[in-house]
Amino acid sequence: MRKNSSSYSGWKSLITFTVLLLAWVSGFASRLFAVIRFESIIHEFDPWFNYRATAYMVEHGFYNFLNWFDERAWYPLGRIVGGTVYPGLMITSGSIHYILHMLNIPVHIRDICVFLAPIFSGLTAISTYLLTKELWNGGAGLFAACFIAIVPGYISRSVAGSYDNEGIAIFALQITYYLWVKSVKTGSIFWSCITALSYFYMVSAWGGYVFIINLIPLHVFVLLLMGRYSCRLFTSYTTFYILGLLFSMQIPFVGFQPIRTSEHMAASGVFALLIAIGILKHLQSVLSRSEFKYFFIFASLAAAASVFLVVVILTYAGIIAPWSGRFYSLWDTGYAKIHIPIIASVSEHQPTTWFSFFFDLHILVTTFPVGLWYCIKNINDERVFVVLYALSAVYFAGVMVRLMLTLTPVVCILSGIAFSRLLEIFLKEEDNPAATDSDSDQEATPSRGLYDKAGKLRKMRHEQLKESEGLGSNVRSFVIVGTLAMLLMFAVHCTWVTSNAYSSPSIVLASYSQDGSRQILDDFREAYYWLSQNTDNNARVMSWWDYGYQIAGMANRTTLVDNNTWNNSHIALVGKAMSSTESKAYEIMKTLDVDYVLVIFGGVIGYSGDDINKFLWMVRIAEGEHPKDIRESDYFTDRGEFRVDAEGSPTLLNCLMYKLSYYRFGELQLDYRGPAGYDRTRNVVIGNKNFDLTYLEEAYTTEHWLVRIYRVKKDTDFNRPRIPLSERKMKRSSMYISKKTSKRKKGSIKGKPVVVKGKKPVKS
Amino acid sequence: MTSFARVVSRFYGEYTNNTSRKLKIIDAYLFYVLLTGIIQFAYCCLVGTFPFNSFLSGFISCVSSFVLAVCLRLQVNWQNKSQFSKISPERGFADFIFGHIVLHLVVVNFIG
Amino acid sequence: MFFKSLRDRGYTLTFKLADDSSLLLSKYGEFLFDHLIIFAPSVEEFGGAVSVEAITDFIDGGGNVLVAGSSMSGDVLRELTSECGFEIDEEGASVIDHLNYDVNDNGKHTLIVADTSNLIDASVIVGKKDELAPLLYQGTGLIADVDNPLVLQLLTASSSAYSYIPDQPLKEYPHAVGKNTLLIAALQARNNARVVFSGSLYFFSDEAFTSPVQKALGGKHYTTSGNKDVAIALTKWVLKETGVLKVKSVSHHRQGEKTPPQSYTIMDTVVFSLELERKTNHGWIPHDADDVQLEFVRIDPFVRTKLVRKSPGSYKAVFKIPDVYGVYQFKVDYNRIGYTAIYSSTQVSVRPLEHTQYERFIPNAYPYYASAFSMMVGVFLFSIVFLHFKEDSVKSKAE
Repeated sequence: MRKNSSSYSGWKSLITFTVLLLAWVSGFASRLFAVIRFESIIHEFDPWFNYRATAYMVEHGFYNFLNWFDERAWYPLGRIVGGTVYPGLMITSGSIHYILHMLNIPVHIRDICVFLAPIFSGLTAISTYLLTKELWNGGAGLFAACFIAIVPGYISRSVAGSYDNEGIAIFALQITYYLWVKSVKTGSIFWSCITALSYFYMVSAWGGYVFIINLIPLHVFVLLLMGRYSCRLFTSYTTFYILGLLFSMQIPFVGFQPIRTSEHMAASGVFALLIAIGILKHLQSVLSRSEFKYFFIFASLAAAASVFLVVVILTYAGIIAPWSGRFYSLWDTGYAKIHIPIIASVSEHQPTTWFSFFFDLHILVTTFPVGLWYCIKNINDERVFVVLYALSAVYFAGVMVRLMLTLTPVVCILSGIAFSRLLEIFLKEEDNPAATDSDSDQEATPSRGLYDKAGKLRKMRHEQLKESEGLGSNVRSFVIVGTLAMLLMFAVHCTWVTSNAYSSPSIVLASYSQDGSRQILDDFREAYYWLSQNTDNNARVMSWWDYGYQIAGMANRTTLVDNNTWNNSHIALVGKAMSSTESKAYEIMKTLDVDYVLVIFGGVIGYSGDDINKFLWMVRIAEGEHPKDIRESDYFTDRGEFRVDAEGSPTLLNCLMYKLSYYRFGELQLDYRGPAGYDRTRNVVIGNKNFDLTYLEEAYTTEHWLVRIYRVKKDTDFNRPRIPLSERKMKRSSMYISKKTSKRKKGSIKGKPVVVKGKKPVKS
Repeated sequence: MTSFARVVSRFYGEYTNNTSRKLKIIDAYLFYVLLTGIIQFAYCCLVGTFPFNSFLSGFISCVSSFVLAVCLRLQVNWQNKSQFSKISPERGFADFIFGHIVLHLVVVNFIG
Repeated sequence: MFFKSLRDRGYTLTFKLADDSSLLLSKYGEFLFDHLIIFAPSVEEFGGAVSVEAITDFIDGGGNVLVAGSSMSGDVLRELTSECGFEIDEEGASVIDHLNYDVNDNGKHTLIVADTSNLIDASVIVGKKDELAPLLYQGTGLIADVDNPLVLQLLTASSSAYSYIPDQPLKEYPHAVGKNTLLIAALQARNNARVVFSGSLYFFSDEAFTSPVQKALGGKHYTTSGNKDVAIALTKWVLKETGVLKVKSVSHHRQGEKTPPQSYTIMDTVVFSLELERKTNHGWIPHDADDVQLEFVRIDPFVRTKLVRKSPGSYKAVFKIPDVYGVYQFKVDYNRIGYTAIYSSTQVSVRPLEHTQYERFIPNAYPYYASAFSMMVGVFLFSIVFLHFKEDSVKSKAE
């Protein structure tokens, strides 16, 4: 018997190990589409900065990185990188690089950066397994781990090459939650300290740590409301909070925010509340009932008065800052659009569509309420946590596409619970439960949770138990096959989504021609390479902020604004330059010492993410800061349309962005049938075709016209102030017609016989 | 007011009789920490919060010491045995020391 | 006489007819000449490879040009002047002044006497104008683009002059009247190329150089006109013999150091020094002025200070960098009439304090330090007592 049980647990751990390993491997493998299709490069925009910062750190050491003042960004303001960045990502990859080099494994830092997110996805799977195991059981944990490894909602942020904070932050999030649940269960100071440490890692990695520091107090608060106070809760929360507070202030970027801003106030409020309750409980245990009552009134009065006083004083002193704009936009989706166009201009900050819920989560969308239901039915301290986690994450994911990421893990956990419960019921009689990922740990626990939803199923199970296997086994196998088929479909869907939607590096575009062959459009890198080779090392490049990190990372040139949108007025200045007329823009560009202007133009190949389509945001942002000079309504037609064809508003057709995008485009005939100057992105013939640039000159245009670079002329280019023909006071009576031919090169002089006059001495 | 005084005196009497000496040591330590914290806070109110990080690290180190000691007290107290089934007093004390080591490392980093 | 004076100053002259078919300014992208003098007022089209574009390219390439027109100026010259920011009056028009004409005038009042007070107030270009005799002038008038800061109005007509075709009755308002009528105009382009345009070829002729001057309506008699002196001063200027400045050296460093640092830190005290030189016949000598300014610019100037002259030609400013980090430029922009423009900008970055540079061990904070350390000591003592006591209690329990 003993031998039997030991072999049983051996099998169990072997299966657990194998499944987790497989989850890791498959998660890693499915994130490699981008590397296989394209090459091992960094994707998108933000990762380029992270990569650049990491490379800087590896090269110059950690302390120099902390003190790094980047004079090439935000010209001429500069940027203190060490103080405005979450350093967790760079430190993680930097230390991996360091360790590998200690072991004499020479790996280029770029490869580490590219593969960091897939590797961490494996760690996320393991931490999800641990968390789910704490919440439910090991079988559900294995399901959850498998789900999180391949779910598109998480893959979207962690494909190879997408070297971004989120890649490691989800791991930090999951492990923090796991440790928190663990510490609530045990009430141990040790686990709380570890929780605080992992919270510290999370703070260093991602701004989303605010989610943790609000969710955990919420959990505690709800537990208090439910009357589930215990000394364990007291121990774990107080220790976690006070250490976490201290740790989070070690990150320069976070600074004193944890005690200054309203986002963090909930946590300290719950901390105070918990201590007050702790004292009361203690007194309750010591004193008699009537005395306690007396004391309670006294204490509560004193507490109320003191809290009131503190709040008044702090607000009066202005110590607590009001909520930040991004935070407001979480509650009121319309807020950002009105007040902070720069936040709303990011597509990731848009509300989520229903489609993308299904697209990112597929079958899990339907099964996760089931898991939630089971959790509510069998409630305990930890499950309160996961319920709150699920509810808040659903809300946030609905508000912002980007926060889909925080929803994904909890959906995986709850779906894992649901599937494990389902299979548990239907595989109960199987001799070898290990065959399907679900071990039979749960058999021992009574299935209380089935009365409502699964009533019919329960009946089945009774039938199975009591009657012969005839009908039961049929139904059972049907259900099992159906479930497996669903899971199979899920896996197929995940692979499809990953390969099609999330594996494009966005700096290399691929297009499919009619015969199915693939064309690589490498215009971005072509342009950046041109910049790095043909411009002065200190040349300043103006572009819309989306491309700031890429210009800095790939071309190594000074940029004016970039994706770290910390200074709205500077961005507005660039937006103003882009939306003014050429001469006004020239004045702005001169004050900013701009040497080159870079615009993205998709009209030739039909690339929709180009600057003209983003243009309205530039106008809006500029209008926010310069309402006198820029008005959004000027850029619409009378009927309120934004169009670039002949009916477009004259302001639009003469602004700098339009001119830079469409310069010489009017001469270009894309195919034989179409008219010249036909914009494929917007499917119109452009309105203003023949114009010339006075203050800029075209420097470079890539193969597919995707990136166009212009040189801003300097003062010396306007060497002589020429009087244009139209402004001359003397009207020429008749234009002189040249008599020169290729053979006869003699000039002519009026009144030639007077030869004496026509001498032309030249000295040297 | 007399009833309040009676309550307090009874509380005190119960405390001196029913509390083990180990807990009393912890209580003495708690009292010391509390005193330091209060002095610091008063000093800060008088002088102002100029070296804000120093104040925070000093004050938070007091609060954390207090919290950790309270936790230790809860864990050591035999009345709470039922809630901390897995944690022996020795384990609790080791955790306490661990917490302090982590805490003071960070405090020293933050204070300067 | 005019060309002789040039030759005396060491120039090599090459004469070509304006319609010579072998005219060539540049060959294989290099200019064959340093300077160009066009004394061909009525040329309609240059011969060879010279055209308005070639001449403007020559100017943009740094070459200096002296052009003299007349009342019969051809279209090429008009085109050329327009390219430089001024215009020649209509064909046939001359400057007429019924009050200030010379005694030798032929009755049309076109040989006018220009007072030296109408010369531009810059001795570098025209010499000492107080000591000069009046100038003889016969030719067309010029109009300058008033918005143009680079055009220098070297010699204007007197207030009673106007520019019109002398033989015809006045039918419409003349283009140039009074002081607006320019006789000699100059342009110093942004690349410091110099162009001088005179409306009168006669101004440079031997006749004008030697003839006596006397205003017909009762003026003082001068034995020779001031034309020669002005012409020589003018050519000296246009051929860049005078009025050329250059920055010899620019240096900046922290106070107390010698070499410029990688980047400055906010609140540093910076020493900026500049050396200016001026060209003379004998080479470069230090240039003295008391109005050179330095700006420390990040979009807007944060510091604007006077550069104090320390020794001949060397200037120095000491100032404190403001408490704002960013990328700054030291800018010296020195434009004075007659001198070449001096523009020097040096980019430096100003970084915030490093984490080791903040103030540490502030006396205010000592209580906090004390408390933090007392906490550590407290834990230590407490754990000793606690552990020790536990043994006791175990013993007592055992007993």
